[in-house]
Amino acid sequence: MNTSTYECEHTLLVQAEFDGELDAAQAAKLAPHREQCPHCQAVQEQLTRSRDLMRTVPRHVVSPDMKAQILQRMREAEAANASSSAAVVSSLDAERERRESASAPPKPRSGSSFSGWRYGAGWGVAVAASLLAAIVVLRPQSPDVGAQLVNNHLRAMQFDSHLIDVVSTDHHTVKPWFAGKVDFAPPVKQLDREGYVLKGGRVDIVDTRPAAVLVYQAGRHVVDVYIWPANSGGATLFREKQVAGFNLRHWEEGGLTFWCVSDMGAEELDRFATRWRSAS
Amino acid sequence: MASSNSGFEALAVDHLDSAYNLARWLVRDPALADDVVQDAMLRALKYFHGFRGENARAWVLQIVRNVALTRLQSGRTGAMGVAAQAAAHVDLEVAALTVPDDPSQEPEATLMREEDERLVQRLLQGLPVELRECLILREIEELSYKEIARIVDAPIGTVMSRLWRGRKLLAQAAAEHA
Repeated sequence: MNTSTYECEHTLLVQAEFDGELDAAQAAKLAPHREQCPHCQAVQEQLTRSRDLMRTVPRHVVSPDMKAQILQRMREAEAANASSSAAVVSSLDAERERRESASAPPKPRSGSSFSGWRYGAGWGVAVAASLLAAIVVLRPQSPDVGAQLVNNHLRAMQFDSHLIDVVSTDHHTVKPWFAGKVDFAPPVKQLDREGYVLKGGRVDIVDTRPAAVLVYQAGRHVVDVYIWPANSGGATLFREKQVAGFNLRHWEEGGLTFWCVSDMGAEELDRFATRWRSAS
Repeated sequence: MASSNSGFEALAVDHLDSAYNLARWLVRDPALADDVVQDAMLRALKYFHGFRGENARAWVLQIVRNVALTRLQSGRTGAMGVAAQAAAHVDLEVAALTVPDDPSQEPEATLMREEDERLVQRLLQGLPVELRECLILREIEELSYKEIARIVDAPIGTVMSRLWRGRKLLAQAAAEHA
């Protein structure tokens, strides 16, 4: 399909911006044109309209029965190829863990009006939690801070009451709440305009010391931003990591250490982290 | 991980919902989607040793899509779910004209909303598969252009163009029924 198919050659760029596929420089370059092009404004409206429509579409999730059946068939296929008894034992342990946590009732997630999603998301979290349990079983001595954070994140998602200790979308409420609970002043940022809604904060223990946690809602995802004093002197480094399907982004800045944890995609979390860091 | 197999099991469990959701929207039939996912997972297990760990979800979804499209092609002449069979012959224009009225329709807001949601689903099911899959992967699975391009085995530019066509058709069709 060539550009003559579109009423304005910028159509796909407008769409790319809408999908968060443009970097800040590209987006800034597009903005003046979009402001004055009636075609691009119509495109923007249709993009918004179609996204609103798609938000009503359910995400189909596998039933527990079907999941069990698939795992069973995979295990049979594995058994045919089993090379060591040790592998089988750990696999069984992992599965027992998985069954135990999968039997917990699914937990609804806030921010979605569609009951199918609620079930799906809750179930997804339960599965992820059991997965994490499986990893812990296989690697019991894991001192990894990333795994700890994912663990905290999952626990918070499972027991909704602890997801947020101070419920507020206003950073003027959230920031003072941390005073006296942690011995540092975490930066609390509002990113509503970027589509990330501050839901509140809580205090978690990470590596035996209290950490401030900011909770953001981004569409169907929750992002936890963990903050605590850095050991090193404020070097800025950016690291990425994946634990049990959760993405993590880590950096240090101004004597504090930051970790973002979410089930959102890697590139989306990059976008979140970039915008969070550049927000004032 | 203690073995490559338990590694695969974790990976499979992680992406099972994504796999099933894509299969459902591709083949539009619950029973057939079950088959597709089972088949795709066994296939993924078989090729797991060749997987380099770069993007597990895209990798799994790529396999699901291949299995689903193969099933759809062979299904057109052979046994196919009733729902899928009916849906397979409805293109968007036809769907836009023949969406049936629900006789149980009542003037309550919640019913209206459910009606609207069903309408959107039917319109989506009526889209050509190459547009529908891009919409599902982008809007429900929230994948990047790059990931979608990999899954549907097309250049990023093609993905962008299909996504735009799909969105435009969906928005227009819904407006006609509003």
